[in-house]
Amino acid sequence: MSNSRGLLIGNTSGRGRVNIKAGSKEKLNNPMETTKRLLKYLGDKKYILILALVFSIVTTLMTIIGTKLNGDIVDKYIAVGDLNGLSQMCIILVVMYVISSASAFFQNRLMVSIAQNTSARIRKDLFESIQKLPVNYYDTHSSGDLISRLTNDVDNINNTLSQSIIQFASGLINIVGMIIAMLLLSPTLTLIGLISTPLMFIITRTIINKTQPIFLRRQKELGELNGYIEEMISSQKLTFLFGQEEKVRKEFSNKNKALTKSAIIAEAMSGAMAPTMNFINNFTYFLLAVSGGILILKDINITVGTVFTFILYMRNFNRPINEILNIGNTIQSALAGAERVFEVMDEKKEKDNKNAKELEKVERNVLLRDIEFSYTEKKKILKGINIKAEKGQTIAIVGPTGSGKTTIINLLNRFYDVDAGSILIDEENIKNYSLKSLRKSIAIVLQDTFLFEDTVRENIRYGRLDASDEEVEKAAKLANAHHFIKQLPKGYDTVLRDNGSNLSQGQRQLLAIARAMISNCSILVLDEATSSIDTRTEIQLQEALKKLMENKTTFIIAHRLSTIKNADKIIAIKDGRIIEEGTHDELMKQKGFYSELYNSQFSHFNFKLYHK
Amino acid sequence: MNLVLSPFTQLIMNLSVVAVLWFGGRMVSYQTLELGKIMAFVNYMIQIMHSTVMVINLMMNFSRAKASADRINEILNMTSSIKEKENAKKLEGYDIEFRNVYFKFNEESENVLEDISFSIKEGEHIGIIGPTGSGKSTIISLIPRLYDIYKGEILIGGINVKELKLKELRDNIGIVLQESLLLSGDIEGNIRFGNNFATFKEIEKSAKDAQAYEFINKKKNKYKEKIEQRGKNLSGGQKQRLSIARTLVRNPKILIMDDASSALDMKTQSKLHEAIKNRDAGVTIITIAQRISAVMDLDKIIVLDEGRISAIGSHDELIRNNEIYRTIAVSQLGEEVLSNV
Repeated sequence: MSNSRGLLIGNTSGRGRVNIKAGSKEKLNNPMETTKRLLKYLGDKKYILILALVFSIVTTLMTIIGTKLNGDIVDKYIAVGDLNGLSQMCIILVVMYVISSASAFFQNRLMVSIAQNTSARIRKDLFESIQKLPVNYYDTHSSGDLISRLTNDVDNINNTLSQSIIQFASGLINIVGMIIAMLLLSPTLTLIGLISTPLMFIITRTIINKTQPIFLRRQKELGELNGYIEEMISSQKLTFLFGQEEKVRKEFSNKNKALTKSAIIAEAMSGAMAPTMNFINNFTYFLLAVSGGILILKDINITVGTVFTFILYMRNFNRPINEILNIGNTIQSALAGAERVFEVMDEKKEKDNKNAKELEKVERNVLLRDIEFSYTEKKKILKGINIKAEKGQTIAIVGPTGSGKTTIINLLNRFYDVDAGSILIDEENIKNYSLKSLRKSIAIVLQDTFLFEDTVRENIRYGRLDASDEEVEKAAKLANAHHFIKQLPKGYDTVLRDNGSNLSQGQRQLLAIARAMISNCSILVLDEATSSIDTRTEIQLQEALKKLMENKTTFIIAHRLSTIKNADKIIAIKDGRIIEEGTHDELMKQKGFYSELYNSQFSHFNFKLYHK
Repeated sequence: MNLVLSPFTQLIMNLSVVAVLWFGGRMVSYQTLELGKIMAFVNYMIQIMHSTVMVINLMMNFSRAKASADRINEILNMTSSIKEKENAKKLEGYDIEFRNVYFKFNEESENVLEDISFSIKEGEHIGIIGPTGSGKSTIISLIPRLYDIYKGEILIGGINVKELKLKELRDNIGIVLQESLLLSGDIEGNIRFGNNFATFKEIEKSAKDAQAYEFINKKKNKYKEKIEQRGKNLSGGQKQRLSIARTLVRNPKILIMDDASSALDMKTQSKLHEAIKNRDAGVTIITIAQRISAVMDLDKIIVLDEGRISAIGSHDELIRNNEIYRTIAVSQLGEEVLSNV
C-alpha cells in the first residue's frame, strides 16, 4: 500500500515545488521555542484535539481487541464447534469494526479541519506580517523566498499537523497496546515475533540514509528545472527574436536529463524498500508459524488461536513503528518551515510613533531639512538636502540617472527613514504622523505602474476605496483614460491580466494617473510618470494634471521640457547634492549645470533651430 | 481521499475476515474444512484486500493522470501557425516593403493595423511615432514574422516573408524590445544570448556602443557580475542598455529599437544614437519613440494613428503638413518649432 512510499516521500517532503531552500536549510535554531509557538496556534483547539485523540484510542483498542477476538473465535468456538457462540462473536466483531472505522473517519475529519484552520491562521498572520514589512526588507529578500514561505513552509506545517501528530499518538498507543496484548497471550511468541523488529529498523534506516542525499539532489534539480522553465516561458519572445530555440532546448534537455537521472536512482533505491519490508513480514510470519507450531505440538500452553492472533498482530505491528520513525523527519521539516515562517513574523515592522497624529490636509508647507541618507552603509545617496515647498507649489527635481531623485520621494513617503536631518509637513516631523494618513496624503505615479488582476474600475478605485463608480469614471475622464477604457471589450468591467499586459505602457500609466486623481491627496508625486505616454495624449493630460495640481504640493521628477519649465522651483541634483535651485529662467541665466543639462537634452532641437 | 477511503477499506477488510471466520467456523464444525485452513484463508484475504486497495489507488491515480494528460496533450497537439515553407528562400536583400497590410490578433478582434503601406530602403534610418496603442510595436513585430498578417504582403529584399527561411530572417533582424527582459546568469551571458559566437571583444564593443561599458566596469565582477531573474538587481536604465548591447552584438542588418531607450537620460540617449549610427553604415535602423527628439533627424518618419498611417515624411515636411505630428512637436519642443519651418 502507500506505506512504503509514504515512508520515503514523507522524508524528503516530495512533490514538485520550486522551493530549494527549505530542503537544504534544515538546521533548526531553536526547536523548543518554535514548537511552543506552533502549539500556541493549537491552543484554542485543545478540546477538538483531545476528542480526535479519543477517537484514535478507540480505533486502536478496537483493532487490538478485535484481533484478539479473532484468535478466541478460533480457539473457543470454531475448535469446539459452538456455532451459536460463533454467530454472536461475529456480530460483536462486526459492530466493533464498524465503530473502529467510524471513529477513524471522525478522527481524520477532525484533524484535517484542525490542520487546515491552523495553517490558514498561520498563513493569515504571515501575510499580515508581510504587509507590514518595511520596503527595505524587500531590497534584501527575494519575493520568491517569501512566496515559498507562504506556500511550501505553511504546507509543511499543515502536513505535520494533519497527519503526524495523530499518527504519532495512535502509533504509540498501537505499539504499547499490542505489546501488552501479546505479552499477555504468550511471552515466548512475543519475543520471537519481535526478533524481526530491530532487523527491520536497521534495514529501513540504512536505505533511508542512503537515499536521502539522492532525494535532496533530486529536489534541488527539480527546483532548478522549474526555475528554468518559468524563466524561459516568461521570456519566450526573446528566444524567438534571438533565434535561440536550439540553445534553450539543449539547456532544458540537460537539466531535464540531470533530474531524470537522479530521480531514477532515488526511486530505484527506495523501490528496494517495499520488497524488503515484504520479506521481513513474511520472515516474521514464518518464524511465528514454525515456532508456534512447535510450541503447540509440545503442548506448552499455546493454542492455534493464539498463533493466529499473533500473526495478525505482527502484520500490524511493524507499520506504526515505521511510521513513528518517519514522523521524526516530517516534524523536523515542519519545524524548519515554522521557523522560517516565524522569522518573517518577527521581522521589524513598520510602526507608528506613539501618539501619532493624523495628517488630514497639508495646510502650509513641506520641508526637507539637511537630509542625509544611504541605502547601504558604503554609499551615501543624499548629502545635506534642503527643499522647501509651499502649499500648491510645483517643485521639479532634475539630475542625471542615479543622482538620488527617486530616493527623495521614498523618504517623503517614509518607505525609508532618513539617516540624519528631518522631513517636516506643516512644521511637524513626518515621523509623528500615522503612516496610513501620511501615505494617504501623498499620491504617487511611479515609473512602473502596477495593476491588479481585477477590473479597470477596481484598479482605479484603488486610489480611494470608498470612491463611487461615478467618481471612478470622472477620474478616468480627467486622466483621459475614459476614451480607451470604453474601447476595451467590457469597458470599465474589463479584467486586467498579468499586470495589465493587455494594455500598452502608456495606457497603464493613464490608469495610474486616474488612480492618483481619485485619491484625496494633498501632495502629488510624479516620478517620470509621463515619459511613455504619447505626446498627443500628454497634451490633454497636462491640462488635467494642471487641474489636479491646483492646491496640491507637487514634486515632479521629469525629463520633459514643458513640465520643468512651468515649475515654481527647479532643483538640480547631482551625486546626492543640490547644486542649483531656482526657476527655469533664473537657472538658464546662471549658465551652470541646469542650463547645460537643458541644452544637451535639447541640443538637437536647438541646433536645428539656429542653423536653419 | 484518505479521509473516507482508508477507514472504509479497513472496514471491508475486517468484515471479510469476520465472514471467513463465520462461514469457515461453520464448515469446520461440519468437518468440511480444517481449522488451519481458516488461518490460511484469513491471511489470503488480507493479501487480497491489500492488493485491492492498491488497485483502487491506482485507479484514482489514473483518473488524475488522465486529467493531466489531457491538458498536456492539448498543448502537444497545438501546431504553430507560423511555419517555414518547404523550399523556403534565402534572403536576397534588406529592403523592407509593406503592401496594404491588414492585421488583427484573432478572427474576432478588430483590425489593429489597416492598409499599411510603406517601403524602407536598405541602410535608411526610419522613425515611427504615434499615440499609445496606434500599432507601432505591432508593425515591427511583423517584420521578423512573429505574427502572420491577415491581408496584404510584407516583402524583405523583394521576397514575401512567408517564403523566407525563418531562422535566417530573424538572424538578420535585431529588435530591442520596449520591455527589457534579462535572464538570470551574468552580464556576459546575457549579451551573448544575442550571439553565441561573439568574441569577448565584440561583446565589449557592443557594451560600449550601448553606453553600458561604464556601469559594467563599475561592477565588482565586471562582465561576470551576476544578474538575477528578470534583472531585478539592475536599474531600469541599466537593463535597457544591456538589452541594447545584446541586440547590437548580433550585428543585425535591420535594427529595430522599440522605445528602447526611454529610461535613459537625454545625454546618454544621444550618445547611444550616435554610437549606433557609427557602427555600420549599411544597417537599416527603425526607431520607435515617444520623444520627437529621438526621431526628428532621421531620414523618414512614419506617423501612425489608430492603426493607419497618417503621414510619412521628414521632420520639416511633417511639421508643415501633419496635424498629429505638429501637436506632438509643439508639446515637446515648444512653439518655437513652428517658427523655423
